[in-house]
Amino acid sequence: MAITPEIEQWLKDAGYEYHCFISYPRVRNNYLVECAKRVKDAIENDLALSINSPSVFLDDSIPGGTLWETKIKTALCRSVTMAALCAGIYYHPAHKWCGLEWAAMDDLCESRLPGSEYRTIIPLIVRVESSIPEAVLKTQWIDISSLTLQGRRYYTTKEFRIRIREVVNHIERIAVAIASKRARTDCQQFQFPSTSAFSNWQPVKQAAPFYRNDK
Amino acid sequence: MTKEEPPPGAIITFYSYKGGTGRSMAVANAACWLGRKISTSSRKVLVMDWDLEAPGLHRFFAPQADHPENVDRPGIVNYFDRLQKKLIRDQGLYAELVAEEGWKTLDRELPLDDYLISDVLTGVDFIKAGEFNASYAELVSTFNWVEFYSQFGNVIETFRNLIASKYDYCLIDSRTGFTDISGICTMLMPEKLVMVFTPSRQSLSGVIDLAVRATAYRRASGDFRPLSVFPLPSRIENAELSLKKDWRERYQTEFEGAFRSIYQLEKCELSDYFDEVQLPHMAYYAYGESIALLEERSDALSLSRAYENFFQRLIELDFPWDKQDDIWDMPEKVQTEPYTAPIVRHHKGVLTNFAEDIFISYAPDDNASLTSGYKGWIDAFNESLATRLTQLLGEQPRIWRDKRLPGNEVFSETLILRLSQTGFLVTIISPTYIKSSWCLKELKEFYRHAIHSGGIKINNKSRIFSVVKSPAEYDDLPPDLREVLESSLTYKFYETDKLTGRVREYWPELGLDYKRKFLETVEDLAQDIKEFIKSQQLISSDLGGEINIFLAEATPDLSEERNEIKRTLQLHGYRILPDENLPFEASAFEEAVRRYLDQSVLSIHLIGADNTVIRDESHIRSVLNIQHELAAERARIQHELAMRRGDRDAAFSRLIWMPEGLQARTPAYQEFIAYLQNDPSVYEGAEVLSGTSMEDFKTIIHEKLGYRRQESTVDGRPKRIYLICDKQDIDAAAPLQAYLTEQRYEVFLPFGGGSELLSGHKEHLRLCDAVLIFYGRANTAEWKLRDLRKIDVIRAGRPLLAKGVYISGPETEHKKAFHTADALVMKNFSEFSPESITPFLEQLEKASTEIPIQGT
Repeated sequence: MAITPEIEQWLKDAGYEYHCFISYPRVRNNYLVECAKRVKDAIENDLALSINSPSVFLDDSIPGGTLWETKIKTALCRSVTMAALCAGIYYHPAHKWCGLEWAAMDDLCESRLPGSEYRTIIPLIVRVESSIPEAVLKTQWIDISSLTLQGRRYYTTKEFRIRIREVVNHIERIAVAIASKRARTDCQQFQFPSTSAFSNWQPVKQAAPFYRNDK
Repeated sequence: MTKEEPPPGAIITFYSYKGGTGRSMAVANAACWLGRKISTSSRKVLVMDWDLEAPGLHRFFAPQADHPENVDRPGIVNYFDRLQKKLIRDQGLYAELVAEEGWKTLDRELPLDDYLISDVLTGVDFIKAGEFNASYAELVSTFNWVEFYSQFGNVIETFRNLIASKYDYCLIDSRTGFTDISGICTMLMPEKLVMVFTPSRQSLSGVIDLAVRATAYRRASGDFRPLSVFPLPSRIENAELSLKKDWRERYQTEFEGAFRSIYQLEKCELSDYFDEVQLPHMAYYAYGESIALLEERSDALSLSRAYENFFQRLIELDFPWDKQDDIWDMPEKVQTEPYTAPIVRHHKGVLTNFAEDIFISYAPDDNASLTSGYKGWIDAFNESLATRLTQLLGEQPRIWRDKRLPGNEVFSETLILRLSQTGFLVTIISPTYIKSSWCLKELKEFYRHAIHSGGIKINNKSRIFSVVKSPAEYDDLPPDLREVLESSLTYKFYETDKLTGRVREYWPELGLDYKRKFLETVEDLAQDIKEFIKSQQLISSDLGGEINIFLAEATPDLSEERNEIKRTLQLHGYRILPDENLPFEASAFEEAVRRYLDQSVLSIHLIGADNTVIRDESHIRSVLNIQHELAAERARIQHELAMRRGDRDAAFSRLIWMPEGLQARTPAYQEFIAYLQNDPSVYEGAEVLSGTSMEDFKTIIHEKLGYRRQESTVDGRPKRIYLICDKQDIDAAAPLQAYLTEQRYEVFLPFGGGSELLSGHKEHLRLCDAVLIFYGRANTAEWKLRDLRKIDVIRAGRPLLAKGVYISGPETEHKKAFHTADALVMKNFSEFSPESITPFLEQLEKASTEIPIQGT
């Protein structure tokens, strides 16, 4: 289900600026930030097979001096979908922005595709936490945790490209659904939520990596 | 981590389930090898002995470790003991240590330097298991790791960050078995895990079990680093051939199964890996603690060569099943700039949309001749590249460079203008280049303009090719230029001496071996440039003799197959249409397809399970169906024309391929597939291949096109000689190959290995004009000759112009008696001489005047 030029034009006219918004915990973890960039690049590359100007939002390139909160809220509202890089740290209260972004996109999904089987959030599981929030559990996710163990260049593997194709398939389906419902962005009306989607989630510490606890 | 800091070093743990596997010896040798390898780096290698209950790694570094100033130096267990005491004393310290960049605080609180034994080998620092005094045993047995972890667990990550920030590589010699310390060593610390095992049930099961547990732990953790597992079979006894074979099969199968499950792989093939990776049992090393890399020469059967083979893979590969050919590739960067620039032809040339084809950016000092009477390196490189590209492309490329004198640093507007109109940039990297502001400006200007003239990358391929004349650090470059260079294809024109670590550049005047390496690397570059040009359809359509093929747009599930066919056909010189994005609007789409079909002699349609649709004013239509109908219409018209002319074959035909058991995902699309499968009208002027393998399908395409080829002979291309030789004879055949290349023949060599070997062999047999079998050490000439008797099918009846067997040293009775009526036999047991190959070349030249060469 490709995004046709007509759909692409309609989305643009309806205020959509990004095909996908990458949501991830903003920590100074080189590996996670790298993962977010790789996912962004791969989605754009795959989308480029069918549309002229794919656009994926990642907040690593917000110019200095920009009000980043406003920029993020606006970008999220103007996105067709949101890909969330999920791991324990993503759900953690210390990174409340992740939970807020999730809640916001959930609200946008309800208003744009009411009653639809499609969700506009695509969870990409980077690490499989023993406790996963309810909001994530009820959404169909794509697991990339095993393949990110392969090596620093996991993003060059066939397995990674296959998972990204699944993400892009989903983006294309959502884009078509949104266009057929004629659901405009209406960002002026949109109220950004104040409660995290993961407010009830409790982190569980991973067990020690020991086999013998006899000391 | 701030931007200025280098990337974190890699932590590698060596683990064995049982003792006696040679694990510590492997760690010591790895340290020795890595220390030499990175001797020019600002950071070093750290080795740590975590086998606290049976420490012994220090014995390998005896001279330094036993030095009076190091005997009382504390080690790992002392470090964590002191850390625990500090944390208990200072309640606020833990929060500081686990904060971002807490490792800097840790290094202030507990300086790592106090625990280091520096330079135990070149470029290697070492931390012992502990201070080996009277209280060592008590400390090891009373230190409670479980308690430490439950109270201060996250500080282990801080320690990990500390060592990774200071060292390029950190090697850990782990405790055996399933214990608290082995848990830390294998699950919390490494990003690569070496599993050392001997061929025994318990040793093998133990390491596989741990690999499964460690990766499962990482997958559920907050540690986002990879954890790749590298098996290392050790103490392999070569005398027991049958047992060796059985065990090899067993451990390979078990690791392949484990990796498929751990990393969720469709397939995992470790044959190539285990062919090269195994440590032989050497009785000598059973005594004492010796480092093989320090003691013995690296010959083929030595332990040091076995170690080198493994370490090379451990460092260069991401995972053991990574393709061997990728070892020297730079990390792939993903294209971010879509290719949108229109192609505007300025003049006739190799590239149709640029005024110049290639610019060579270099530092003038790198062109200074070392010896009077010889060319400068850049001159030699430029000449060889130009010659080879001319041969490959069929016309001379426009290669230019700025022949300024050293010291002339006025960067002219004319130079900028020409750079903006150039297709490819070849940078000659060296320390001089990196330090030259002029060279960097050329690079920057090309990059700046490339963004506006087609993008710096086209289909993920960079338009910049980095020729590395001698290694240079990119660290001081601005980040954007570093990124540009790192994402370009790299061609190494030097090698590093394994023993001394000294760099040796490929200067052609240094002798045949260096000349061969120089020419081979030029060949790699020329082939890649040619591929790039061909794959982008940038070659002028005025070259003549071009055959157009319409490769219909396929559904996403077959995009890889479509690309594969496209690449193969382009490799053989066919022009693939459409060569631009097709319109999205239905009527414009139809018009474009019709136009492309009119230019084509064959249309190829791949039918997959997904449908792709396009809209017109009132309908949604299937893209596949539109293409099929238009191609069928053209086939009908061409068939009628052929009938009227009385020709047997129409000028256009179709091939339709679908996978076995194809089931559409939607009912409407299923109807179309059923029609293709069952309706007799589909078969008019078409061949429908259902369930044929992709490899066979490609062969059928070639056969179909073979007839077309005969109508479009291109004279003037170099004659192609397929030099068939075994891997072990590649070096011996090098002078012969170099001579043939010098004589302007295009020489094909066998592919590297694996599945490519067979398909590549067939491709070479199909494309070459003559075959020359090299009989050196490998006694396979007769077998290869027999193989030649079956090539009529592959070559569609096209005869070879010459067949020869070149017999080289060492001299044997079999070689002396060798004779065949199938090919010309040449024997030369001494050094290569051009006269020894003359009969073969004479036969080739004579036959080429009698039988026209087929152009491809």
